[in-house]
Amino acid sequence: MLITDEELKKIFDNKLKRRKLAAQRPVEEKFKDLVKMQEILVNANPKYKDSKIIPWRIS
Amino acid sequence: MQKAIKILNQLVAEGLIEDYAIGGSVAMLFYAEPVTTKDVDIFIETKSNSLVVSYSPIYEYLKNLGYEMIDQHVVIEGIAIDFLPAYNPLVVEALNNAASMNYSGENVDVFTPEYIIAIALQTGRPQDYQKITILINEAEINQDKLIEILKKYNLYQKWISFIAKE
Repeated sequence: MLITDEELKKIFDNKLKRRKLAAQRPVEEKFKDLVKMQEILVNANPKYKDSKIIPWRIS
Repeated sequence: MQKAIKILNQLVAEGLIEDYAIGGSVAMLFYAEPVTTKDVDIFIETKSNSLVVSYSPIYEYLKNLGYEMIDQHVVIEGIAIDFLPAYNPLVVEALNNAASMNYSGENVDVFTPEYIIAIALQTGRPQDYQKITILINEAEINQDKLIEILKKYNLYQKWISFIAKE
């Protein structure tokens, strides 16, 4: 085993302490951001230009 | 998204699927900041509980409601939905233990972060490891539950190696 269970717990606990408060935002708000991110992805990446799937066409 | 969830609940009410839960990147939205994705992964349970799932009745029903099919996706109110079977025991367990959430007044079942991590670890593509990194940094995770799942599905050593690199 590379690390002990206790060490693993410590690493994990430290990560949890750094949890972003932003992640606690309402899911509806995060979904709107996701749609914007999808659009940015398409504009930045030519391989998605002709895709019928990305970005989602939100009506 | 609200409309898409409403349609999914309608599929259950109509008996076309037994149960469903959102997995993948969109499930992560409930626990962490968004990450881009091609589609919404919907894991479904059918009456036969078989891996060979016939999607024809689902697609036919949605087509009759006026929704477009693009490749394996159904586009519901602009959102590409990918229906996937619960393809192995871990995914079946994730589906059966999905969390009941609320999205704009609609009830929706979503994989818990512990199962998203376990499935991502099992799948093991670079994008899956990226999901794990985001979840362990941003989501509230029940460590004991996670370890229990990982040990049950022989993923614990893989997890230790992953965490050691993080």
